Amino acid sequence: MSHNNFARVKDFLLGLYDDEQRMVAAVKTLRAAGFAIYDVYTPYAVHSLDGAMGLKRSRLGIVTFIAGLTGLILSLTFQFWTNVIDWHVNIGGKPDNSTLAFIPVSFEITILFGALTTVAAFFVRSRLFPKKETLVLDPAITDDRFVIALQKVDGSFNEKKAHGLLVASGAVHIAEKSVIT
Amino acid sequence: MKQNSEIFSPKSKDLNLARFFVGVGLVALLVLFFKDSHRAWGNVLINNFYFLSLALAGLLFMAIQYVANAGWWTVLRRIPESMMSFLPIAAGLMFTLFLGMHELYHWSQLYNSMDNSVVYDAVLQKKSAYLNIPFFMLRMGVFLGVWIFFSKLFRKASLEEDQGSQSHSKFLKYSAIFLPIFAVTFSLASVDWIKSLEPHWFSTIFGLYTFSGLFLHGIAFMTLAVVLLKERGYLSFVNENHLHDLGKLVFAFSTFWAYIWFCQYMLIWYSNIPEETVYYVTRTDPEWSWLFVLNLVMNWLVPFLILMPRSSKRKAMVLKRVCLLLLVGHWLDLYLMVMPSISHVTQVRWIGVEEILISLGYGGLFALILMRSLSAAPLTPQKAPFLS
Repeated sequence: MSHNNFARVKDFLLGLYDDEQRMVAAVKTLRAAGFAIYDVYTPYAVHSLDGAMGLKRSRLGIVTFIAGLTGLILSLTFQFWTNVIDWHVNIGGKPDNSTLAFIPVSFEITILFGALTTVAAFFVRSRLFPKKETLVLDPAITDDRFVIALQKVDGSFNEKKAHGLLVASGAVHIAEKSVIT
Repeated sequence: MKQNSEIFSPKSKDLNLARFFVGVGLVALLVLFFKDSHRAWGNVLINNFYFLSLALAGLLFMAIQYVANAGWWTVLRRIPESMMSFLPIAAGLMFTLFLGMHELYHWSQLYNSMDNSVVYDAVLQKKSAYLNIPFFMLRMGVFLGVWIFFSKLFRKASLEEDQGSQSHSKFLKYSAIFLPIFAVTFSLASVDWIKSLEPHWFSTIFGLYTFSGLFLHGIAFMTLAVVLLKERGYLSFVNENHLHDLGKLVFAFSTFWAYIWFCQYMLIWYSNIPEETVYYVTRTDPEWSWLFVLNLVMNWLVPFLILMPRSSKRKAMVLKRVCLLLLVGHWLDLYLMVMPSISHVTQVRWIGVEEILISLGYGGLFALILMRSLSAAPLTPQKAPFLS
């Protein structure tokens, strides 16, 4: 394969499985043998996978909380400012600072801020943007196969051992793939 | 998955405690009847409704899970099943209200004929086609009958499943029929039994409000029961993921309850119409106002803040405490619906020892029935398709 010298090449070793249990077991064996899992592709959400891969809990919730709190404070302050400080309007004889009436708006703004910021943060963090080319390591990823991807990191990657472990753990097929990034 | 056919056998310590509470509660109730019969009837109504809604919550929870085709809750199914086994007793207790009609329901004085303020009350006269004692009792009979009928159907199908028959589609069918019927009957029932204490008051969201409370304290009780059973070494299948799911439901319904509470309060506050505000005028009176605030704090603010982090929804000890708080909180919610409405005829302004003892008595009775029903069948459903 010829490519220019400035591009980085990532080489992958892929283990394709047709069984959820075997794949999860394989992830555990590989990690125990010291291999870093690049990613695992599954046709549906596998509950036990997060733990097996040793993924850290997502910090997205913290973003949501802070954004929601910001929305709540902003909307309450804004309504207070408009109704009490900037422009008094007598609405049904209610006091200017009718906090109770501010609640529905604040509630909605809290949710709006929280939701939109969460979506935005998710896109930014996972580097998703329009026209982004998807990385399809193997066509089987889009099908019914469970695929474990290992990156062949220069020097430290014992390909023979990895290959052996994948086969021993019941991979139905082993594939290799180079991606130019 | 391996079949687990362990059978629950209640500890004699727990049984004796429950029996002790029933005895004490009964004595407290009798004493209160001689002291202040209005207040005693108020207590009977609060606790009848409280434990009836707990039993109903079991039935409702099951029906919702069945129509949603949910599988996660199958290991805990015996708990809602046992909760609804209290329905016949709750029904019996509810019928005793017939004896206390005149002490509780102002509108029923229309048939006492001596009270002119009622006889010449145009609003009550207009409403008398619906709010009259025979029709009231008839509706009560129909509602309770329908609920008991469905609870028996569910229980029967569930026990048949243990013997190996295919109950899955039956559950689905019963639930789909039960849910709309429940929505109408429970709404009307709460209007009849609780809202008609203030027959001049209008609120279009009252049925939903009592429903949100029912679901909240139902799910809180279920969670508490799971934790207590696990503490006694049962339900080994139930892990912290189940607790997490229950915790999420408690969290969500606590917020839902607060949402509905706020909807009712804010709309009435906003439009400021006398026939609507009358309810809140009594309850925000200095005598009641801090219980009124405490209600929101106990049922929403504290559970909301405690249960927000993921880790607290997965800890049995945290859930246990929050659920106990919610169970007391919901009692307070009912207390605030009932007592201020009859406070013009009784001197009660505060939760006394009698209130606590009577409620503990009811709680003991509920616990006895629950434990008996739990021990009547293996604690984990046998041969349930979701567990194979």
